[in-house]
Amino acid sequence: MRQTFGVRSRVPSRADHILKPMGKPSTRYYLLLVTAGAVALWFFLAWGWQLRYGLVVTGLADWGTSGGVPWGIYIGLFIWWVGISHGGILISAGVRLFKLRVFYPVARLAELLTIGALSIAGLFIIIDLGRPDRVVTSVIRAYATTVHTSPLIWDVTVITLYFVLTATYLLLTIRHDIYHLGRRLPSYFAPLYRLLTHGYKPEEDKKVERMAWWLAFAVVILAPFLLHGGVIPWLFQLIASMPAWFSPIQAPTFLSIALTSAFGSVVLVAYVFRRVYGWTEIIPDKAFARMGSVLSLVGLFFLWFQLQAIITGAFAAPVGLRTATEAKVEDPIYWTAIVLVAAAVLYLGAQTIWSALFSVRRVVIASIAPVLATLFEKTLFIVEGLENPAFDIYKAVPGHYFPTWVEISSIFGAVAMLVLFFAIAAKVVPVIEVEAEHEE
Amino acid sequence: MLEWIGIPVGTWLVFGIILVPVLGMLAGWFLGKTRDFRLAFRGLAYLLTMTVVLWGGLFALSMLIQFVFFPP
Repeated sequence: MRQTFGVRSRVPSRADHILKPMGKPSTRYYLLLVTAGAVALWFFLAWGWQLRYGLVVTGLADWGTSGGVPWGIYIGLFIWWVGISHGGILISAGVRLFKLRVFYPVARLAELLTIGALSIAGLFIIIDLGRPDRVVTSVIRAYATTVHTSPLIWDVTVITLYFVLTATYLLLTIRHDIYHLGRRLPSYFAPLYRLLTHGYKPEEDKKVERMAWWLAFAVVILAPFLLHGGVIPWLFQLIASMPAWFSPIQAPTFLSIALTSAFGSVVLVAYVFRRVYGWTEIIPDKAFARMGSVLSLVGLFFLWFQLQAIITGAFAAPVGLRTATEAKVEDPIYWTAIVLVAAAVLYLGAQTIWSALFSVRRVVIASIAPVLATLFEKTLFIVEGLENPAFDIYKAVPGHYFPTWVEISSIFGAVAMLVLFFAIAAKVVPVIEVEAEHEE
Repeated sequence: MLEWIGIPVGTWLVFGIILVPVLGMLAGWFLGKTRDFRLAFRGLAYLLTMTVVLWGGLFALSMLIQFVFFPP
């Protein structure tokens, strides 16, 4: 049956709320688009500058003048954005696999965050290349050979799988919502909605739910255990010449950091939507309280793994590891990260035990801390690791790493791109799932 | 060391471990109960389409970068 889009009809009030972002854009919305667009444009100009004159403008072209650091904040940001992307699909998987209904209201937002954050993470790999125009031909033409031995290619494989599975998950589950909201969706996107709901039949819902369950099952193994607890830490922990990296504990440490930034980011995104659209009933306080509790738990794991790394490196470690550990613990940025996470864990853990301490605003403020802390920690991990190798060939390399204006532009540019992604996505598709019991 | 079985590390890692959850998912779609081959093939088509979109988009971006910054 051909669906009609753009016709008003009586629908439950929940649908009214869900459709709010898809209404006529306000002046503030356009202001947001212009501001985020300007920041993103600035970043693309900075990247263009880098492409024009080469990576030398960042000091990352070779061992260079940055204390021997050819990977800097770009790779730190890559790991950070992949970490953030974990929140989405894990929350959705929690809803589907473990029936965690409390996370249901934020599941779609979190899935979109996964798609957006993962795309930005991939972009940082492109940005970090001296000749990004060769990336596709290099990877695909050599895949049959490099897959046998290259951790970089394992990384590319798992990130591709993760992106494709998440996008498929979204495409399958959104069909129901678009069909049932159909007549109230903006008519100018009708061709897109027809494409997305092609061949849809209401009786397919249960079967799609089953397929989504299997997708969640695959992703819940792939993302935490084989991506951020696998191929990404293996890029570092397999390099024996870097004592700060060469340790099997990197995998669970990376995972703890990823989950900390991921849940923090989902809290922030959910809060922005709740505040802008007045969704106090759609995304209730309880969802924030529970996300805060989970964040306190994964933050605790973050701190625990940091303790393991410090005690191993400081007690009676080989010279290389001790030197790298000393460099880390003498850096105020590291302790800033630890204090930020510890403070968040303390409050979020306390509000879990004493509900009187809870407020949505406090949970949101506490969630900002670990998101920032994980960026600091990840960048420091890259830089300190490279500045303290187990060999002396580059001992005479002068200077210390500090990000250039081009690299700093990329931090804000990436955030602006995510803002643009959500601003546009919220106009096109419902960012809250329509529950079956609320169907028309 | 791990090549003792005659298979390079990456080969058994990617095809023997990393792809297992994905293959399990596909088995669930096509062989599990309440199966629907039409929907399962739709899901498979989504997977393949998104792979092409991802790498095709990346290829287009790389060609644009080559055209603007590294002309032959």
